[in-house]
Amino acid sequence: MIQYKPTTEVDFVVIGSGAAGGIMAKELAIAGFSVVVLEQGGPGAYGHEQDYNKDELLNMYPPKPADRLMSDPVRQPNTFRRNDKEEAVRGTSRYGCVLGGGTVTYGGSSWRHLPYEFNEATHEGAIAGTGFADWPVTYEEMEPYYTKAEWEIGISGLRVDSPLFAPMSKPYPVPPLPMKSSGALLKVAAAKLGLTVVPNVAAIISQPYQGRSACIGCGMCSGFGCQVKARSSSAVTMIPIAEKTGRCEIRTYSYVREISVDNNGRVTGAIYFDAQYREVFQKSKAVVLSANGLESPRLLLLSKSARYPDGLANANGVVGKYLMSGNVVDASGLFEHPLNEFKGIVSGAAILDYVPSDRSEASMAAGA
Amino acid sequence: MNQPSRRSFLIGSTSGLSSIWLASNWSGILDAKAHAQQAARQPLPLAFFTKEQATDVDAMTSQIIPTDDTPGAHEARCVYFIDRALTTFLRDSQPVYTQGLKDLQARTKELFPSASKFSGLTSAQQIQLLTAIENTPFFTTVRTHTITGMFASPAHGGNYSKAGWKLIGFEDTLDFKPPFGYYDAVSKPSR
Repeated sequence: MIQYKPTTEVDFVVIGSGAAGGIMAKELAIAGFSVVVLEQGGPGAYGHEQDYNKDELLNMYPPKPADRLMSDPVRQPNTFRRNDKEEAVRGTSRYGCVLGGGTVTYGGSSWRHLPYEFNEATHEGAIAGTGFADWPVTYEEMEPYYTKAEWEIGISGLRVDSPLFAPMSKPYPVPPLPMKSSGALLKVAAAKLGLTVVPNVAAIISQPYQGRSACIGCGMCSGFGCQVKARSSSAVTMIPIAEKTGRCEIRTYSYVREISVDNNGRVTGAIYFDAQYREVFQKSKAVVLSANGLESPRLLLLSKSARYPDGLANANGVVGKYLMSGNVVDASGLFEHPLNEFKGIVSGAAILDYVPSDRSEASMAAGA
Repeated sequence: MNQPSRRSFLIGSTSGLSSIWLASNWSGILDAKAHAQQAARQPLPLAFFTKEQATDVDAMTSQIIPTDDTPGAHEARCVYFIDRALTTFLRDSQPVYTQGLKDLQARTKELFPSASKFSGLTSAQQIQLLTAIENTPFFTTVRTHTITGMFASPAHGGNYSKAGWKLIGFEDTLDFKPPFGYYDAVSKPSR
């Protein structure tokens, strides 16, 4: 792998190597730019000879920090509050912290947003106390890129002809993963309520694809690294292509603390702590910030300068506000025969009906 | 029977577990129990506990996951799991055990003046005492660690001869092929 000197001005520094960073590194390197990827976490097992393991306890308490795949609440603590009048309290939010970021350890659900979600604010109108806004792009503009990403990354799913399903110019590259007992039971029960259940759309390949082997149904998805590279993480899809160009250097254990700007307000590079906690300044012409929904705004706020006393990209003062996390509600039940939910992927099925195709016509109150 | 059997404990605490499965696999579990009981008789070297402490912790774990028709925490060697964990990844819990076991000893003498140690009490007395301390950090820690030791990989010292996994029907296999569970095909039009 190519190695750049920190004093050498590269074209791009990419902060984070996950879902967004991996794609940016690959696209930029292929386009001929020099790229340095700064990843907070370690190289992960794909950098070593040994595979990831299925040991839940080792996964929770890795003997070495190097074996950790997600952020450590002690070393990367976070606090939360709903507004600036509240006292912030310690949170337990963790994120993927390894080469490939959250794509290495996530459950794999990879749905497109629906067309109406791009201009939801227009449909719905302003909501007091929120930063509710339309996206600056439309679904039609994004559609070719969804298709490109699905085919390059490797997504399993079934294209469904329904107003509740985002219209697709091309089907998914590989068929959906097998429906588990939980999904099958859900489908039967949902049908009685007039609801439609479809197989989950997942970044886990159901058939060999682009030199990677198919999912073996081992059951260790969320929180674990995939032992057979069937999960289409950035670490096994985008990053290897970026590295192969000879123009992209991956630096793991590189914890960025500031994006630097000059007196004209132009970016000059990024300051990070390396594996030995030494401060390093990597010069670059441009910086791509792709460090997840928590870390990206944090880094913008930390990047204070005389020119930008409130941090970068924060002229309107909303950086770090209006964070909405994905909410999880679960229910469990007892069945006569075993479901063996420890086998197969985590999310096998999804109900479409709670995702309105046009919010003005459907009631969100129906959502579970 | 005053105390819940492991069967009701597991059914009450593990979603999706099938009593039918337990019934149909009974003979295999009983074989595993005989084997595990035999092996559990051999004392193993301890890393953190004294022999006396280990005996008390073993007695506690045996009340948390009792041995009845099938192996319990004792046969699964949960005490050895806890002992080893306390010198490695659960090092932070050492003071909880050191103090907790002292308190357990004191409480034993307080409630049963003629007894010298917790492990020497009758099962009913042990349950009476544990019920009195069930909301303490010590008991909840031991409970969590007992369950962890019962079902974590045998590589960590507990779940001896996969006693815990056999109990809940977990298959220690690298890969699985569909159908995964009993109901996989239930939504197919042919059924």
